[in-house]
Amino acid sequence: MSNANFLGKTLDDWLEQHQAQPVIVDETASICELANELLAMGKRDAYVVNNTHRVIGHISYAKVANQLLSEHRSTHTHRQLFARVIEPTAKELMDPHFTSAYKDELLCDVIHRQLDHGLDDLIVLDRDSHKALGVIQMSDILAESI
Amino acid sequence: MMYTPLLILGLLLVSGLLFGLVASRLKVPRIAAYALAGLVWSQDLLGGYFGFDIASWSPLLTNLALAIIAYTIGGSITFDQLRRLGKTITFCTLGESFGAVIVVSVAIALYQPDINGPIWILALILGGLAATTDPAMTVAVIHQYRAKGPVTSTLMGVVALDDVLGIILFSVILVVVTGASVTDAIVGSGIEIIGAVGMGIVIGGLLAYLGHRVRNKRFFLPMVLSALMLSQGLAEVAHVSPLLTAMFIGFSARAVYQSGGDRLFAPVEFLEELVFIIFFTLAGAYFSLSVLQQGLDLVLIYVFASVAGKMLGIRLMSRLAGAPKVVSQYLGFCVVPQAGIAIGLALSLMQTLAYKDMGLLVVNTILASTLIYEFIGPFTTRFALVKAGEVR
Repeated sequence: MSNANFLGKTLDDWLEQHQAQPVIVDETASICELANELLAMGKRDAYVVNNTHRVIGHISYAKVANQLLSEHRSTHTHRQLFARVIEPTAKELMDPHFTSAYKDELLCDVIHRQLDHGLDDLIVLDRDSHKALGVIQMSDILAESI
Repeated sequence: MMYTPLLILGLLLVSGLLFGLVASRLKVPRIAAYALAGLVWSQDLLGGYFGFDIASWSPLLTNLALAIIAYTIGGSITFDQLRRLGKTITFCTLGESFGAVIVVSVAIALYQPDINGPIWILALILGGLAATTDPAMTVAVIHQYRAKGPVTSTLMGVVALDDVLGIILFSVILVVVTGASVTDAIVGSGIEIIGAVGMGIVIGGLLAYLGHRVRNKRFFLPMVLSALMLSQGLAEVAHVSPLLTAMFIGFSARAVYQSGGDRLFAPVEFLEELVFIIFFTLAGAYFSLSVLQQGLDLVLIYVFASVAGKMLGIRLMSRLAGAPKVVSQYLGFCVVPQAGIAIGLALSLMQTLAYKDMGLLVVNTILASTLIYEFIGPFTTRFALVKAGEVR
C-alpha cells in the first residue's frame, strides 16, 4: 500500500524538502561534456539552457549514449551520419519539446507527466523567466510513497 | 484475371521482402535480392506471361518515394553543420561528384552509343546519376572492420554529402535536358530551380511551425507525408523541380525547427527500407534483356568512367584542400558503391523524358551497374581501409 498524503503538496514545498539539482548544460556543450555531467551526477536527464539561462530543451541519457557509441551501429540514416562526422552540440541534440512543471503546481498534477514521459528528473521552471528552480526526482517520490 | 496496380505492387513488395530476408540470412547484398525479386516479374519472365503493366502507375509511386528520400537527405544537415564539415570533406565531395559527372558524360559522348535520341542528353543524364555513393554499404564495411582514422571519417562525410550534391546536380541536369530549346533550357531551368528552392523553403517553414505546435506523435508522419504530396503536386502544376522542392522542404524544416529534428524526420526515416524495396523491385521489373544486350557496352563504360571520375576528382580536390596523403591515396577506392537513390532517380526518367526508349536504357544501365558495384564495392572499400592502416 502506498502513502499518498504527500501528493497534495505544491512543488515549491516539495523542493524545499528535497533539494536535488538538475543536470544543466549550456547549449554549446559538446556531447562529451554532456556525458561527463550526467555521469558525474549519476543522472539520466539533462536540461539545456541558452545564454540567458532559460531552459530550452531536454536530452536523455539514451540519446547521449546512442550518439557517443554510434560507431557500433551497423546502419545509419543520413542525419546520423552527419552527426557522427560533425560532433553535435547540446542544442542540436536536444528535444525542444520537453515536459516541465511550475512551482505552484500540485505534485499530484505533475506525477502523471513524469510517468508518461519516462523521466527520472522532471525540471521545475519559473513561470516567467523559464529558469530552472529545481528538479522532481522519481526516486524521491517512490521513497516517499512506500 | 485482372491484374490491378495494387495486386502487382503487392506481388513486387512481398517477393522483394522475401528475397531480401533470405539475402540477409545468406549475407548477400539485399539490394541485389530486391532487384532479383523485381526481375522475376519483368516482361521477359512472369510479368510478360501474365501481361503486367507497370509503366502506367509506377511513376506516381516512384515520385513519392523519391520525394521522401530527397526530404530526409535535405533535412540531414543544417547550415551550421555544413560550415563545420571541414575543407577536406567538402572539397573531396565536390571532386568526387563533379569528377564522376564530367568523366561519365564525356566518356559516353565520345563513345557515341547507338540510341534513339540525342547522345548529349543520355551522356548528361548518366553523368548526373554517377555522382552519388551508397552510404549504407560504406557504413556496413566500416562497421564490419571497425575502421577508424582520417580516411574513414572523411569517407563518412563524403558519402553523406554526395547524396545532397547528387540530387542537386541531377535535378539541374534534368531541368536543362527537358527544356525545349537552348533559350528555354537556360531561362526555364533558372525559373524551375529558383521556384523549387522558394517553394521548398516556404513549405518547410510551415512544416517546422506545425512540428512545434502539434503535440500528438501520431500526427507527425501524416503531417510530413501530406506536406510532401502537396508539394509534389504544386511543383508539377508550377513547373518547378519536384525533387529540389522536396529536398529544400527538408533543409528548411530542419533549419527553422532548430534542433535534431526528430519529430519531423525520424518517422519518415523508418520508411527508407520500404522506399528501396520499391525502387529496386520496380527497376527489376523494368529489366529487359534485349535493352541490356544493346547497352552492355554502355554499362561497362559507365562503371569504369564513374570510378575513374570519382578517383580523379578526389585526388585533385583532396590535394587542393591540403588533406593528409593517405586520404588522397585511398579515399577514391572507398566511393565505388553506387547509391540506391540513383535507381530511384533513373526510374523518374521513365515519365519525364520525351524519349521513352532512353528512359528504359538508363534504368537498365543503372540497375546493372548498381549490381556490379554492390559486389565489387565492399572489396575496394576494404582494400583501401586496410592499405590506409585504419582496419583494427
